[in-house]
Parts: sequence; C-alpha cells; structure tokens
Amino acid sequence: MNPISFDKPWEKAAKIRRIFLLAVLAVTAFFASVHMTDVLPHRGTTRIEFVIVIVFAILFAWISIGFWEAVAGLFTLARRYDRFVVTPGKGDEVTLGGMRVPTAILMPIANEEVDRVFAGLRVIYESLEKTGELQHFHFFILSDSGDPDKWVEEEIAWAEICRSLDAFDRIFYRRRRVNLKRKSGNIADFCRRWGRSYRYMIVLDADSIVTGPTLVKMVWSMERHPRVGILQTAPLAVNRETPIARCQQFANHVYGPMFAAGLHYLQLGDSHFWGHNAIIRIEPFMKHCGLPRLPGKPPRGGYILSHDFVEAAFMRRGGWEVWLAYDLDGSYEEVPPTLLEEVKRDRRWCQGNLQHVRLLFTKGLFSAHRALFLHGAMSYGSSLLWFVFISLSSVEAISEAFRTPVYFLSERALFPEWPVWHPQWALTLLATTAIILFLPKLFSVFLFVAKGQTAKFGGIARLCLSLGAEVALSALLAPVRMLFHSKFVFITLIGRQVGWGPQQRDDRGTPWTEAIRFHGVGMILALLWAAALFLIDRSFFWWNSPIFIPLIFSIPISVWSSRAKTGQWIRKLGLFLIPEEIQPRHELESLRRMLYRQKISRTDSPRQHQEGFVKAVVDPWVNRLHLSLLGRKGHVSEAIASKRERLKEKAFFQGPVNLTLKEKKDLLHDPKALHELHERIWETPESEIAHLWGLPS
Amino acid sequence: MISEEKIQSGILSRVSREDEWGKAQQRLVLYLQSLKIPPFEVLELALEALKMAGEKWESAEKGDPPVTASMRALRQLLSRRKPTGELKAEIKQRILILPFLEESDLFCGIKSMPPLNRGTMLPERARQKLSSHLTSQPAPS
Repeated sequence: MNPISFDKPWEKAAKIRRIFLLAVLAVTAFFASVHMTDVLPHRGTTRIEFVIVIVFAILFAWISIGFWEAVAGLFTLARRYDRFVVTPGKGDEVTLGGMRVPTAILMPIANEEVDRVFAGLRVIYESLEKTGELQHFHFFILSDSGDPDKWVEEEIAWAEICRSLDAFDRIFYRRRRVNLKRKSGNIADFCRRWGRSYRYMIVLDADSIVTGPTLVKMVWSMERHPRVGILQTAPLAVNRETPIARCQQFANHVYGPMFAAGLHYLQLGDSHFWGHNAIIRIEPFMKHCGLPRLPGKPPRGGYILSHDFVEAAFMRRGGWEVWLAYDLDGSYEEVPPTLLEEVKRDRRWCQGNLQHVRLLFTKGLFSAHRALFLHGAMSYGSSLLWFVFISLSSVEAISEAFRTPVYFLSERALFPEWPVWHPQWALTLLATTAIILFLPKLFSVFLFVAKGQTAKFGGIARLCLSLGAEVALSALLAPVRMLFHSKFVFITLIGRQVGWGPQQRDDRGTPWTEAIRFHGVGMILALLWAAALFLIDRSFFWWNSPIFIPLIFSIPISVWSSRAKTGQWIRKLGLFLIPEEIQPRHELESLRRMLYRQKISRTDSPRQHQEGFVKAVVDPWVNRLHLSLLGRKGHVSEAIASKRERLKEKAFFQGPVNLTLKEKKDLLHDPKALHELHERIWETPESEIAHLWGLPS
Repeated sequence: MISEEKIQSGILSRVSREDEWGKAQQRLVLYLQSLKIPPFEVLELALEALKMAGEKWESAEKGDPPVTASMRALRQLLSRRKPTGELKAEIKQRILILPFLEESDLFCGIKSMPPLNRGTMLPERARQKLSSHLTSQPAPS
C-alpha cells in the first residue's frame, strides 16, 4: 500500500475558515449585545445590567458556534464533496493485505456488566471475521475492576469466549492490580507492556460497537495517511429504551451527522478525540501523549480526568494530525439511560474539562486545541453563566419593582431617562435566539428530505413529529441540566472533588426516592423563585415560566423519562425512531439476541447465582482458571503469610458473607491460600460450613 | 446378650456411616461435574475414588471422615492423569483442568496475555509547573 502524504493545504484552509467563524461570532454577538442593552430599562448603564450584557454576549456567541457549525455541516453534506477527507472513497479497495503488524482493539473496563462487555466483544469479533481480515487484529480486555466478583466473572467470560471462538491467541485479558490514573493509565499500561508489538490501537468503551468493515476502513485510512496520529469516528447512539435516551438517540442520528460534518469542516486535522471509537497510532502516542500530573490537589489539580482532549492536543503538538471521520458509519455507543446517570457522567466530565483551563497557556499547543479546551470548559461553564444571567435578570426585575425611579440621572440633565422594559424588542431578541437554536434542527431534517431518506425515521410525518417531541423534551430538561451543571462547576471551582463508580448502563429506571433526593432542592428553589416573581413582577414571571416550570416538575420528569416501558410505548407510537430500529443492523441485532439468550441461560444453572468470588473459591473449574491466570507469586513475608493464614481461617469458618471486599481481594491475590481454602471446603464433612459456601449439605 | 441400646447405636452408627459415604459420593460427583468431565467418566472416577477411600478407611483405626478421604483419593486419581496429545487438544477445547498446582500450566499453555514487549511512555515531566518548563516541538513541514 503506497501512503499518500499531505502537503498540508488543509492548514491554510482551516485557518481561513476559523478566522471567518471568529469574525462572524464577534459581529453577531456584538449586535445582539447592543440589542440587549436596548431591551434593558437602564440601557446597560447600571452595574447589574452591565454584567447582564457581558454574560449575554458570551452566551450568545456560545450558542452561535453551534449554529455556524450546522451551517458548515449543511454546506459540506449538501455539496457531497469534501477535498479534505482521510477515509476511503467509494472507488477505493479497502484491504489490509500488505500489513504485517496487527492492530490492537482495546476495551478498557472497570466494574462493568460482564455479560454486556463480552457480548459486545463477540459481536465485533464475528463481524470482523466476516470481512476476512481478522488475522490483522488482536483484542484486549483491559480490566481495572476492583470488585472481586466482577474480576472473577470477567475471567470466566474471557475463557468462555476464547473457547467458543477458538481465540486464545487473539483475545487477551489483563487485570491491573492498581488502578493508577483510571482509563488513561489503563491505556498507558497497555502501551508500556505491548505497545511496541502493534502499530495502531483502536480504543472502545464497554458499550461500544464498531462493525468489522468500519474497523478495517479505520486501519486502511491510517495506513494511507501516515501523518494521522488519531482518527476519531462519530459514534451513533443506539440500544436504549427510555424516553430520555431515545430522544438523545434520535437527536444524535438526525442532527449528529450534520454537526459532525461541520466540526470536521472547521477543525480538519486539529480535531477532537473523544476517548473511544477511535484509532490511534501507537508510537507517537507513547512518545507525546504521556499525561502530566497537574500541580495542586484535585479537583483542579492531580491526574487529568478528561484525558482525551489533552492527548489530542499533545499529539498535534508532536506534529501529528487528529481527524474526525464524520463520514464513516458502523460506529456505535450507548447513552446514559436516565437523567440522573447522565448528570453523574457530566459531573466527572465537568471536572475534567475545567482542568483543561489550566493547560490553556501550555507552550507548543496549537491554538485550535486551546480553543477546544475553552470550548470543553464552556460546555459546562455556559450553564453557570446562564444561571448567573437568570439570577441577575431576576434581581434586576425585582429590585426595579421596589426602587424609586430616578428620572434625572445627573444634576444638569435636561430630559428625563425613562426606565422602561421593551417587551417587543425582547421578543425580537428571543426570536433571534430561537432561530439560532432551532434552525439547525430544521437544516438536518431538510437534508434528509432532500436526499429522500426520511423512511429511515419512519417517514416524514413521524420525523417531524419526533422533531417536535425532541424540542419539547429538550426544553423541559434544559433548565434541570443547567442547574446541575452550574452546581458542578461551582463545587469544582471551590475545590470539592468528584468520585465516580461505574455507570448504570441498563434501562433500570430512576426510583422516586432517588429522584426526590437529587431534584428536591432545585424544585424548592424554583418554587420560591416563581413565587417571588409572581408576587412582584407578573410579566417577568411569565417570561421565566419555561425555566422554573420544568424545575418544579423535575422529579416526575426525571422518573417518567427513565422508564423503559414508557419509552417502548413512545416507540410504538412511531416517535424517536432511528434507522437501526427500522432496518436493524446485523451486528446490533446479534447483540440484542445474545443478551436475551444470556438472560435466559442465567436461570438454568443453580450455581450461576453464586457470586464470582464464591465461584473462585468453590468451583474447581473457576478456581483453576483463576489460579492459572494469577500466575506464580513470589515469596511473602512472615507477617503477611500469618495474616493470610488467619484470613483463610476466618473465611473457612464464617463464610463469604462475613468477608470484606478487601479480604476477598486479598484471598483472590494469594494462590496458595485460595487453593488451600478450596481444598478444605470440598473436604470438610461439616454440613454447616459446606452450606456457607454453597455446597449441598 | 447385646443390649438394645448397643443394637440401636450399632444401627445408628451403620446408618450414619452410610449417610456419610452417601454424602461423600455426592460430593465427588458434584466436584467432577464442576470440572466439566463427561458423565460416564464422572461415575467411573467417583466409584474408583470411593473404593480407594473405603479401603484406606477400613484399614485405618481412626481415619478421616468419608468425605475427606474420598476427596483426597479423587485428587490422587486426577493427579495420575497425564495429558496426552489427544487429551491436550481436548483440554484446550473443554478447558479440562488437572490439579497440578505445583506443575506447569494448568491450561496446557493457555495464557490470558501475550508475551510482553516493553516500551516507555513518560508523563510530561515538564508539567510540574504551569510555565516555562514545558518543551515545545514545532510541527514538521
């Protein structure tokens, strides 16, 4: 395969496009702010009004970015030609025949649902097998699971999948004993151990699905363009049933391709990296993308949480390009199933993105990536600005109601200054803002209509109805998200840390108690705010009703939007349909069937219900498997050996329920103790002890 | 004359002994089934282990309980099974485990990780401070 080298005309084009974008943003934000000062009673001359105008200018510029991205995307997709793509065209023969070095497909996991992870892996494996290019790929499950039961379940699942696919030399499993630097550390550990054996690595999430042909195209593209360091696909959201997730899936399918094309148009070789569903050139990654530890304590200092943006910036700084393969399909992910899971995820992303602000002035970084850092921080910072804007506006409105008007602001003024709200101007401004927010959605629908692809969404009527429903649901959820994001930004800025466990990736729903716990305070604040406005300034009350009404009803909204049954009912109505539901893709259908079969088969074997740790101790097959994967252990000190002996006695006589997580992990790490415990349990004639460990007594 | 108590305790003792051996048999079968050994082999091995344990138990004055003796006998039997070429292939397919804790590979060469090929990936040292320690590299033309 002869690689094509760019002579970097894209850099010039990118520069021109971005300068144009900045100019347009500045001009439109300026005029919008001027209009805003006209709306305000004192024309922005008071301190509060001045701050309101500044905040409004920033927010207006911020939402305009999305609008212009959509315009760029519309332009790109409508003309069906893009001279700066790195992915294969229709006429290209995509094979990896000349490659001698395999590509590693990595799935970093930490306490995920084991069935789901391995079902996804199997689907990807089989899809790749069908392409005839399987020999060019190896798979790595990189586990950071601290839960002893998950650890053992992963080992069992690994052995089962390798046995069924005869893939012991192709699918590998590694569990890190110390979870250093979380996901980025997990990937770095892989690079340090095996990075030199591979040229590329494709990083997936626990819920990612990438089809075989797409994987092959990704590798082909990297081979063809030797200066590309990272190639990011634009994953589409699938597989969810809840109303909120279905809404997001729909939005992702309808607007996503256009926005991705727009991002590509502006970024070109300075693109995003989202941390998954992307292929990375390993050598420059190892050389340039080792992450620093930020000075100071978490959350602002310490290890970088949102590592992907930083890795892309460092890769670019090292002279390698980062591209977005917006036109490559077959890449999928799953969105959080409930509003609360989404905000839990956003909490850690918020902390990670705000850390990037500390890297804004790092030497050597390209301005595009500095802008991306700022953009990432603003993704959450804008919520706080919106909150500030609403608060200051409310304070202004309330204080105007109590303030005695001053008509002559200076002694020598000849004419009075009338402090007046201009609602018609406010409506004009509102309409402009609405156009900026909603017109891109219409662009997307227009594209599908123009290309005759509305059948993918159930027809034009259903597409339009779904669009309306999406706008309505997003409008209901926006104030709730604003409140949470504002809180996250605030607590990060004051130095409180984020902890996170694994995300709930299935459609279990939000209980009422949890919804009350998370939304209760916001609901009370909204009620108080609404009451104050209602009593003091009725017109301002109605202006802000689209904000406080969703906040007041956030508890039922949160619960209702998390119910899978409600989502299924919505689907039956023909709303939020996506192409993968109308014409299911083979891989996704295969995944769904596999998960269903696993659910059924779990009830067949009585020992299936045993926890992983108990299986490792009791089940001879699992015990041997675990000991084999553990390998040999070196000599331990007398103190530790004695401690382990006491632990073994405790485990034997008291059973697994009386062991702490740490004790279980200590046992799992000690092959001698584990093996001796295993033998002793099987040999014991004491029925009570046998019963403690699940043996028939 | 043997007292009724002695007869009853003899019967009880025989019954409880039979219960114990019954328990041992169940334990053996369960263990072998857990190793995913085919059913006819399970019964064969269980019977052989019970016989071995029974003989030792009869000859010893104070032997191990039947369950303990049977399980140890089974382990001895299993340890004598050396994997032949054909069995190795079978093992690979079925992951049949032979309890060689002290010997090499229980899974006959099956590893969960490929051979290491170590490289370095250094964190950005110069990020200790947020200013002039950072190195910059110009993009190649």
